[in-house]
Amino acid sequence: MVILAVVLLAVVMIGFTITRSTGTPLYASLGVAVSEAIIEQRAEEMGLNEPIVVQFWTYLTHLLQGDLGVSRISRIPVAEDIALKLPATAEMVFFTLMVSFIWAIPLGVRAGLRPGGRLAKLGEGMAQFGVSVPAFWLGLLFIFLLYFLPPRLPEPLGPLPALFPPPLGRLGGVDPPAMVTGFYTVDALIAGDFRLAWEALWHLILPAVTLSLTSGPPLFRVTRTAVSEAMASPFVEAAYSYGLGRRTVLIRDVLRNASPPVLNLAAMTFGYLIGGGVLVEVVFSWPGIGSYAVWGMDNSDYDVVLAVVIIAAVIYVILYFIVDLIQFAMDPRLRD
Amino acid sequence: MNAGPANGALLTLSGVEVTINTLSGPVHPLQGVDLEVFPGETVGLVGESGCGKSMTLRSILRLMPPGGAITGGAVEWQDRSVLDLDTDELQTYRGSDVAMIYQNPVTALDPMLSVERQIVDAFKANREVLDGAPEEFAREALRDLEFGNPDAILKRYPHQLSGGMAQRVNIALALACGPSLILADEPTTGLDMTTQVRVLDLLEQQVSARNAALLFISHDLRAVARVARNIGIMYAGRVVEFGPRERILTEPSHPYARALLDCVDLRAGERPRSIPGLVPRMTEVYQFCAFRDRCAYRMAVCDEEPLPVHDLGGRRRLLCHLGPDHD
Repeated sequence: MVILAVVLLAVVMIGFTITRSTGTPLYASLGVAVSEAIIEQRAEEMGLNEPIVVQFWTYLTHLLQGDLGVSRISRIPVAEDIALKLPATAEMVFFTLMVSFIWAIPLGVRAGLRPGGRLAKLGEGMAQFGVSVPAFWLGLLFIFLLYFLPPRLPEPLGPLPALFPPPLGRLGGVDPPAMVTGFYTVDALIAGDFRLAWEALWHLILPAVTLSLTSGPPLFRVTRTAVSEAMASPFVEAAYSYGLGRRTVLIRDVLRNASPPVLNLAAMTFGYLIGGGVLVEVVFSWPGIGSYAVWGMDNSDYDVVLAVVIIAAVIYVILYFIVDLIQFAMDPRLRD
Repeated sequence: MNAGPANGALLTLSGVEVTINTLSGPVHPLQGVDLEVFPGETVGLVGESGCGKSMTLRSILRLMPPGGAITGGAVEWQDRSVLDLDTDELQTYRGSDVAMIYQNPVTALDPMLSVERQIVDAFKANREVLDGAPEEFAREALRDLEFGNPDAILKRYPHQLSGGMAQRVNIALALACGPSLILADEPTTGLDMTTQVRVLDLLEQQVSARNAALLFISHDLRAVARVARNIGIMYAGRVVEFGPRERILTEPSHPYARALLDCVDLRAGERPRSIPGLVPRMTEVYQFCAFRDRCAYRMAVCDEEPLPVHDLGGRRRLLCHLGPDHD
């Protein structure tokens, strides 16, 4: 726990130093056609004339009270914006992991059990493709192939116009459900609106598949390696030699012993995608925290950028803590 | 003469061949193993590392490493062919008929499961009807292996056991399956001297208390001589000489058996000797005697004819052109 706090403090310090050393936000917020006096007055207001240590202390004390600052452009408190945008990203990342759990992990298990088999080759092909292709390009490709490439009918009918608009954003011009979790799919289900839940899910599929194809390959590979290592271990052979069945050995010994590295990587992938899915967010007009950070950077909006960095770090730290707890519960060697 | 159920053998290996396809080409660890084990008897197999001892045990259980397969010969359990068993029959055969004790006691136990869980699962897999709680049987199984406080041990995990304790747990596990043949793959190699003696004593005592047979392999002739009534000498994937312990230890016929005996015959003041020449490479299939390059008795016929099998009666068998009666 102490280590976690130290990590977070370090993130805040480094983030603060970097954002403060990339120029002033004054012109961005006021424009360039203003007098020196106004600039000076604004700098005084924003506390930019204080020594940097004092500025940091002010920031830190506010941060500890849950105050992430105010956007210098929109004048909206950063915490409010993040409360809206973080669930959007979290929902997308969550579904991305779901999609990865559907393909990368089963194929990884299979490839570990039967190296060289047909499903192992399929998984390896997908992994190779996924790491070779940039996520934003894959997203654009999906949109192009599925929505802008009109199906061709024989002449003289010729190409048909694209029938459906691509599902960009979180919902297609419908009001979002009442906020409970911030996950539109879940909130719509809570509200009992299945049409809306389907609409939200429909908008999630393409970004989630895109991100899963590009972030899933490590999960596939780690699963494959972990399973094949477990399969080769003496205790698995011993379990077979006592007459335990294939299924029992697979679940009781192989999957259990292969799970720690996979769990670790899944948590890392989640943390990474919170901030690392920016390009896909942009491609699919996803109003998430990645796009928000980019918007903040474009405008030298310190507090926005720093808040996103800190939130991403907090999520990382919490995830690692949870994974540690799970592994602690699973692996007796860690308990001693 | 084909040794089968007619002579009452529990287990019969005849001409067993194993091939493993590796990235650098095929390897042939077993090149025609003949072996019989009778009910309740103890058999030892001795040989240098790489001679196919462990692979022989694995072929008995039909547990092949990745890329490995039994490519020739027959493995028979009483009157059934082990190689023809289907998945269910094989599962019953493993554990209930034949169980194995592994070389490295700690890695042979699943690190994530308690001792109790592992013994109970082995019980459940092999005993259809348990009159009583399986935990009670597990406790009893540990008590048989002279654990003073079985309840505490049952709650432990493998990493909390010493090597000697872990091996006693492994023996308890194998015995828990109720097999009539126990395979022991160098079960005392990693243990210190005093623990070795204790574990061997316990193993012998428990095996004979259950009227089970024991097939014990080791590179250590003295350990094998302690435990086994009949001893086989393995070289390059074949059992080149087999016979009663007294015979093998005092007047072996095969030149390799003699050389092996000379190695361990440490009379006062003598340094242990090694056998000159190289251990055979198992990437080759040996058409003739695999030992002839290292053999002091090499003759012209060794390079011309395949090894003859001399069945000498009284369980004695010899694979050598010299025959049993050379000096």
